[in-house]
Amino acid sequence: MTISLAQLQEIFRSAFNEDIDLLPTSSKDTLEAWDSINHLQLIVELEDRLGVSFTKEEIEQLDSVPKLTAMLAAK
Amino acid sequence: MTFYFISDTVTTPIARELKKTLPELSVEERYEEDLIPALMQWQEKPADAVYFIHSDQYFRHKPAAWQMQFLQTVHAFAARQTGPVLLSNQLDDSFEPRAWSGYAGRQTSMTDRYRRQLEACLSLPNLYVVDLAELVLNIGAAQFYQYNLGHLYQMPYTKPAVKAIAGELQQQLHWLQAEEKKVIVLDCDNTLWKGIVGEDGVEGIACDNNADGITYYHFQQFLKNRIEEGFLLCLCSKNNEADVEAAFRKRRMPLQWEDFIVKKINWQDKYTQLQSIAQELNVGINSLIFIDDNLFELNATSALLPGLTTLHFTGDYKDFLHLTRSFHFRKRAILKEDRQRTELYRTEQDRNRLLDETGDMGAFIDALGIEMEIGVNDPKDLERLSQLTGKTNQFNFNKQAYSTRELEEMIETGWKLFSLRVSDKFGDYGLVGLIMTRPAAENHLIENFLMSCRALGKRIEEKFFREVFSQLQTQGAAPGQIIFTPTERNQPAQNFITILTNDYQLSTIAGNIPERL
Repeated sequence: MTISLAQLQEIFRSAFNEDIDLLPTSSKDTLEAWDSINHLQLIVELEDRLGVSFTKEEIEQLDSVPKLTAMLAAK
Repeated sequence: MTFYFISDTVTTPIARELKKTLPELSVEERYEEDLIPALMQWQEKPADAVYFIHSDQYFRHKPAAWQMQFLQTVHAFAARQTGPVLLSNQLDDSFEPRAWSGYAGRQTSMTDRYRRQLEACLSLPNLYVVDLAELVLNIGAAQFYQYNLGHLYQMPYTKPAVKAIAGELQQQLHWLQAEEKKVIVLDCDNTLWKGIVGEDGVEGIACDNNADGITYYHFQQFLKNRIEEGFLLCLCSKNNEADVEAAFRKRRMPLQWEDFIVKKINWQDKYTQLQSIAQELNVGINSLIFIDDNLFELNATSALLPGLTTLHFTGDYKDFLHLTRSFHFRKRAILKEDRQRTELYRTEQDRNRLLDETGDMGAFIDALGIEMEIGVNDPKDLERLSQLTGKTNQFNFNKQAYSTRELEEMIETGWKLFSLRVSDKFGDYGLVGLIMTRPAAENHLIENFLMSCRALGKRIEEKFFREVFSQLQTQGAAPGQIIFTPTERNQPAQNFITILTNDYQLSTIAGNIPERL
């Protein structure tokens, strides 16, 4: 599955409940709002909106937009 | 109001979702892997708190012994609180829809031991079940749980689950603050049965276990169960009364002709009929639920009667399941008085016939043979007294809802709560009156005086007050003051004040109504 950055940004915003600006390189280190609560909100939103599900390993490893894009591409 | 989550799962997504619909709600979250010690040691006790205690058993799989102890701990916790405590329940091992078992938020269907323990909890008037088992059933466990997230972050829910739980809590909070419904008014054709009795004939309508009639059959059973919980059923139908009566008498349906306490079956507009039903039963329009298959009737009546609750029912089974889950049908507590309510109104109708026959009020009261029994600080009355303080609007000097626990505390600190039971030759009215007096060094104070409307109009309030006043006088504690808070609805109490100020030289103090659930 391929998904545009704009679509991802919309999902991130809804999950974080905050109008963040998403870059193709954004990660936990660059996004202050990406804490563990928002991380789980993000998983919940991604699964709901895209109809995908994540394994435990994926949930743990997902810490940046490039990784997310790669994970989604494989689904 | 502060809404507390006390949970063994992370509740932040649910809290955020809840805040979307209730932005003004202040929310606190407490996550504990083991809720038992957390609840035992709970210190905070703000008066306006509402607690949601949530242990997810599908996720946590605590052993049965833990569950029993958990319920006991919740019971003890709720008994210490003045506000509502909502307990999530997920241990439902039965797949029977609530509607068939007469389930109404105060009963459950699950393993016997767990059920007994839970029912012991529910004897507390401030403890309510939030039935998450039903949400899991509706959504499906596979769509409800995200165990990977759960095991990593203690948050085992999908988005639909988060939304469903938040939605349930929002409805529950709304219900706790709304006035309870008392009367269900029903249309007949295509609402209580399939078909039009005036056209299809008594034999042409369907309300049975066949495909055409089964939804109506289950709907009637659902309504029949509501009578047991204290709802009054009425009919409001554009029909010939003889046709409708024949339908009930000749067809074997769950509901009987006699189950309906007021029947308005004629060709007048439903708006007028609903108004006169409310008048006859001496309840406000906002105590009524009106159910019809005709959207035009529902829209017209709800536009003309603000406060009326209307529900649409067309005989579709999905509608039926949705409708029967409505919070409008839930009672906060179901007491002996509720189970007898239809009977009580029926005897009231007999009394009115006697009044018509005797014509004169004095002769009527004599003919009733009223007997009164006054109790003081009787622990077994407290639950009903608490219910009366919450429900009585018209003859209520100072409306404030008190929990059973608060009433107990009053007694412990020297208050006197006089309760009144009344019966006459037609039957028992039950516990219908309360006078609360607060101790004072001098100039004793009547904190409140209230009477259920079913006992009014028979000079019972005068006798009750006279008797309580003279008891207090004998004890050297004759009251000198009474608190009175005028509201839009307590005109009957206002009318009575003159008697108290003239005959008993009481002075009135203005009260204020604090915000409380």
